[in-house]
Amino acid sequence: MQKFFCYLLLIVSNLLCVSSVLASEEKTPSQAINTQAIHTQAKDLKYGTALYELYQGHAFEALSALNVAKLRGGITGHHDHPALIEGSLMLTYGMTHEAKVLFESLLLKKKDVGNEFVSESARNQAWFYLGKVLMLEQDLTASMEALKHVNSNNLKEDQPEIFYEWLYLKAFISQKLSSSENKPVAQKTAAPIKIKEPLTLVQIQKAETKSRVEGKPESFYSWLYENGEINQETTEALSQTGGYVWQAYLRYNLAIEALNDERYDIANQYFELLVSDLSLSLVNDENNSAELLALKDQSLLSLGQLHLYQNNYEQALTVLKRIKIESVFSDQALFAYAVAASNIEEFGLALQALNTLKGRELFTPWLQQTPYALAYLYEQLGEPELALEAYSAAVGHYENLTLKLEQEQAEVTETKLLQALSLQEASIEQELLSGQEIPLALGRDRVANDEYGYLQVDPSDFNYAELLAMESFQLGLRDLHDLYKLKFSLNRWEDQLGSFDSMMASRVQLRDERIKETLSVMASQKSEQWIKQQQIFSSEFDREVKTENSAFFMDDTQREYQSIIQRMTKNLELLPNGEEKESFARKLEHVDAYFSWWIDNQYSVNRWASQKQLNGLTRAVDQFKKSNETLKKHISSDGTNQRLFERINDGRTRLSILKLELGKNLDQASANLLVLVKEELGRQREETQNYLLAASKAQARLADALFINRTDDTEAQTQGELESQESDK
Amino acid sequence: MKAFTMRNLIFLMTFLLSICVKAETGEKASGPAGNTSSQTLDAEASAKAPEETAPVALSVEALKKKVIELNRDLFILEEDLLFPANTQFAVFVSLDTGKFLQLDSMKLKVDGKIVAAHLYTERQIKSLQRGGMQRLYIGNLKTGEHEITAFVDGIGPENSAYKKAVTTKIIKETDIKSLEIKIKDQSSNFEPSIEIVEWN
Repeated sequence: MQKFFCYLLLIVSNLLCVSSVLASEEKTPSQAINTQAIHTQAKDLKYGTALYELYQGHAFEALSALNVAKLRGGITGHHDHPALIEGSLMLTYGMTHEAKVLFESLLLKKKDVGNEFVSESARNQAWFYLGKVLMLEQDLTASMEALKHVNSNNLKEDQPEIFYEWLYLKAFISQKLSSSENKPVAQKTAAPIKIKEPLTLVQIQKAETKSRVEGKPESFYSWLYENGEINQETTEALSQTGGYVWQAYLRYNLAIEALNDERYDIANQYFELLVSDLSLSLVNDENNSAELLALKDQSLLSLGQLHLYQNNYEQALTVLKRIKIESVFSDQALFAYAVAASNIEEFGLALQALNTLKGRELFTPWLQQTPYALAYLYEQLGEPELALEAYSAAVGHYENLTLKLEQEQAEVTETKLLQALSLQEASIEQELLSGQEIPLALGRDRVANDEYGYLQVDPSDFNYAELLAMESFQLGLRDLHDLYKLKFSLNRWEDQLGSFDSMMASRVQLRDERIKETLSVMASQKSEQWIKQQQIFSSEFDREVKTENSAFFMDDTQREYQSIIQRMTKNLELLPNGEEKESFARKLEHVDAYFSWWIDNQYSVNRWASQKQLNGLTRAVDQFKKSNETLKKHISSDGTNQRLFERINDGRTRLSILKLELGKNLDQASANLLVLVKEELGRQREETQNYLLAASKAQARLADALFINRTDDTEAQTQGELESQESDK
Repeated sequence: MKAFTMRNLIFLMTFLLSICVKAETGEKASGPAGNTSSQTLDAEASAKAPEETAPVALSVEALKKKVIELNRDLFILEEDLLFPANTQFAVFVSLDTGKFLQLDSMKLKVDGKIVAAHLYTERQIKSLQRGGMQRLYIGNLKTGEHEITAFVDGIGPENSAYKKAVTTKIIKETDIKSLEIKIKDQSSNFEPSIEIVEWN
């Protein structure tokens, strides 16, 4: 509601500037970027977390999350939806140029080339969002071109929520293109239009009644199109059964167009039909009731002012009476009501309306004329004393106001400006939960803003109401808010980088301790001794291979047999000589001969077995040497930590550069806003001085008149008394 | 041009009083165009301002891009420093429709110790329902077996208080371990179903 109030406030302020029915601008609904339309259950954790931020309205965090995902292998299972989300987030975050580049790159991808595949649905949405970007950049022709690329059937099926917005945008842009200001552009792009006689009110009324009786309201719009009253895009949008709110805005714009073309009876008819339909839909559509009610009130105001212009004062009073007193349009309605009432000499009603306005707390700059108007009305009512009193009050009011405006103009600062604007709070629940009490200020997430990042403010000082109606002021305020947000983000990282330093210091310390432990373990392993042993083995092996020493390569069994033979030989030596000894010696000789033959026979097998073992040992030693070298390398140089240090330092450098840039931008944005404020206050002061001058002169004139009347009366009275005295004599 | 003239004519009608002011101040009535001071000023201001603010807007966009890039790099650096891949352990929460459960809060225990607790706002619930995933916890875990328990509090069917705990055992290896606490509607018994799913 607050969001909508702000939006309406902008419109109302716009209207207050010119205070005329014809000053009503063509209207657009809140134009939310429909990211909901492309939502789906996340199939990738990185995408899921980005969506979580996105749906909470944290565009910056969501964009950062998508960027992190890109660097961490991208998002899988969602085709090009992440890119569409990123583009729409950029739009929300005021990065229209980047969004345009992204959508264009999506559309440039070929349809079916490997990884470059872009689904029809994604292309469709990309065209839609590109159209929106171009519209925001005021390139209406290119925007229309982009929107025409959208396949309506696919969009309706895939994303019904944005389908109606697409229809609206097409109709809105085509209306803009064909308006008088854009005719040169429109002529270049639009097809030649057959010039037909404009429809009359009777024709339109007949066709409308017929379509209503038949229960086919869409046939009325087709008929209007066939008769050249509206263009194809508008017909298409208005003939749909859904998207009622979008249609209501289009119909309002049609009425305004008729006013601009001086077809007042047609505009009257359009407004009346719209008001009657809006009254009906207010009963049925609770979700959009605030938006519809505001549009109804605005339509009634426009209709009332149109009656006023056509001197239909009675009708103006009837229509204006229908605007609710709490409506944001009620100030204007009351003033118009006072004008209408005084025109039919219902001065009492006019006075009542002006007194209501005077008593209003939120006194807008536009309403500064009310004190003067009130005095003027008393004068017209033939109440010179009351009028004099009112003029005198008006003079006092204007004097005070002039002083106040002068002072404000001289002393306005960013802080004072923001105090006067009174930022609106989006949601405090998160803060309540966290138990923190952070004051609401620019740059805080809690500051309410719409889908385009425009801030929702409720000006406590209505001198700023008209400023809020200016696109440049709104953009400046949004930029300032975004810049403060960036500042908070950079400050957070600045603190964080400090803690990264401490983390790195403890990492380095931990590493040193580990190195010490490792070195001590390595020392206890006596690795060099083992390496030397392996080298000895290796050289012995080579030598024995050369001499083909089969005994050297004996296996364990053979070595066991060899030791038995050696033991038996020793035992034999201990035996006394004799036959028995000779018999044993002969047997042992046989055994020894057999043993020699056996080891010779097994030589090649044994040699290869030894070779295999030696190879294994050599490999293990090589591996050990390699690991040892790597370990030593790691100990001598700390690559990982070094890279982390470099990343931290790089971050710090980038941060300080960005902080400098940000500071400049903040100063510039703030200065730009203050220039606008000072200009506006100056303008208001000038206007107030005009009223002051007028009220002072009127006061003097009336005081003179009253004095002369009183003198005349006294003279007449004296004359009369003298005459009566003379006659008595 | 027509619309412009008409606009001012109507302005004259509704602002009869303004003319009176001019009459009182002795200002020469300059016709419709003369009475649009505020309108003209506004138009001038808005025509001038974009030109003045254009360089700021462009540089703000460039600045935003740079800050997003820095944010990304520092975020990754922070994770690399605090939660290296070989020990990183993260738990996410997802909510599929949430018809039978109005989620209120969530607690997470790792090996019997509470490591995370979260009280949900309406906005966060809506974000989850629309497909968002909340990273409830990120920390470090040694390799080996661990017990993970999630406690879910909320309002269940028929507005009754709902409390449920789900436990699972996981083996942490040397790569990143990610879990998802999935809360889904279960139409078979009109109750929510809660499960812990491992992501590869």
